[in-house]
Amino acid sequence: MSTIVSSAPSSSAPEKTFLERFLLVELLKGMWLTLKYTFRPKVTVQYPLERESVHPNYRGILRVDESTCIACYLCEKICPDKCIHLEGERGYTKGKGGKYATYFYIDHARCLFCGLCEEVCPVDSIYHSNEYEAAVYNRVDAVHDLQILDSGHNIIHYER
Amino acid sequence: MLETKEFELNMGPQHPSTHGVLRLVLHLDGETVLDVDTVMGYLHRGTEKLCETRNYYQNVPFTDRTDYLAAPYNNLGYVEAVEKLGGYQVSERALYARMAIVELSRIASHLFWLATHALDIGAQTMLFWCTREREVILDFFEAALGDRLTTSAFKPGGLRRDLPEGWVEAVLEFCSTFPARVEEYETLLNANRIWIERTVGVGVISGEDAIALGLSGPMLRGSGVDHDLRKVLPYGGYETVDFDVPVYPDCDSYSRYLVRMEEMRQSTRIVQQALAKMPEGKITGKAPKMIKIAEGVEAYHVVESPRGELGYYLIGGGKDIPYKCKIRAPSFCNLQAVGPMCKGHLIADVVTVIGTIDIVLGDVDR
Repeated sequence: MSTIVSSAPSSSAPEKTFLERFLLVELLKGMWLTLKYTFRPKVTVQYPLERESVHPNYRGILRVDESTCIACYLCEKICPDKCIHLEGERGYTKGKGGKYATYFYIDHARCLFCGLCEEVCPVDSIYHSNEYEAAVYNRVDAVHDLQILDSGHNIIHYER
Repeated sequence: MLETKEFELNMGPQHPSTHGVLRLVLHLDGETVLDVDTVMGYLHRGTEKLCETRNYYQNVPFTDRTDYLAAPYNNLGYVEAVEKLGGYQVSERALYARMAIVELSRIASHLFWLATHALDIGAQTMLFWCTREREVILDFFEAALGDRLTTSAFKPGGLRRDLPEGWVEAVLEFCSTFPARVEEYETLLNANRIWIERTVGVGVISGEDAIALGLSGPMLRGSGVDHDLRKVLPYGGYETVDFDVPVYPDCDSYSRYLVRMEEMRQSTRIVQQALAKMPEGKITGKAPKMIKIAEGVEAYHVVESPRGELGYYLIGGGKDIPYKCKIRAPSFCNLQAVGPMCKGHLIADVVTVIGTIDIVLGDVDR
């Protein structure tokens, strides 16, 4: 069971002697530590000029492989945000039979990037790419159609 | 005699040191705080109601968004509640992998707390140093769980995917160097006279009051109450690892700082033990693909999140969606203490008090 050790306010801050107070010992110790850091290599990455690569497991912008999609609607069903919309048709296209997607929209402005659609897809058609630069000027641009999903969206790279 | 009267000052909702969108109405006498009214709800997204319209798997990403600084802990609370509800077994490997991940998230959360709390008080170096170490932990999350902040890491029965190759070794290497970093933070802060002036004796709340207000986590242990759910109600394999619960009896911000610093060291120990105990085997678990819970079956599960007691109360709805999902958020309950802790202090100390509670507004408003 929980026990109360003490409820009287006291101080657990370290006690200092007069000399320590007068000579600012704790301040000098801290300054020495920060001074040592000045000569160590920097850890910051100058972002727009240099980019760090992300791990292959990272869940970035969604992509769809048009040729393998069988329009089973599982991703649309599992999506917690309902940001995936697709319509399928039965027929023969691109040398294969069965169902294929006629239109496919993903609203990345609403996407949670949770990876549930990737997990349920039976043919691994929908997947998270490693692309993380998804900023757009208009909300409409965040909605990707089948062509963008298949070939990847245009990223405007920073230039000096 | 000059006539003075009570003065009302609005702090927030867009104040940088309220750590989110929290509004405080301060009743002042000069610069002394007489009373504090807390106004919240600016970040309310209706997570609990949303959970009633999605199935048990779809709800996991929503729990990330409540306490976003320690998202794996929210996943753990929800997922273990679902496992309790359905009686699903977790594989041994998943159990210890989860323990290592949530303890890493506790370190990350405490690091960010230290960074922002110290920045509020005026120690700018801490922000850069703490985020440097936190970055390493977030890289671990990126590799193992797929995302840095909103991980959606767990699913009922286990983890989504197995840990990548070399992950365990990288984490163990981090764990061996991390205690030295904590020592560096303490060199800067522990004896620093500005830090002591700003935290000792500020935000005092006695152990009895803390229990009466329903506080939990470091808020309680900084007031001398030895209460940790990992020891009191062990869950997720915590009974098999060896760690200490730091308790400091001084009831002020400084003692809560000491509690959190010590907790980071203890979490490192837990991560090392959990990874050493983790066996080979399947990690994905045995829960069915469509979870259906009978109507009226209920479960309440509590975990010790970095902020305190995090509880998930679930009621089955007959179909694949829960009838009710109540979240007992630690930040929400801890926020009650802001009034009693600020009374009699200066305006500048309100910033310290908000920082020492370690609130996440996503967790308060849900």
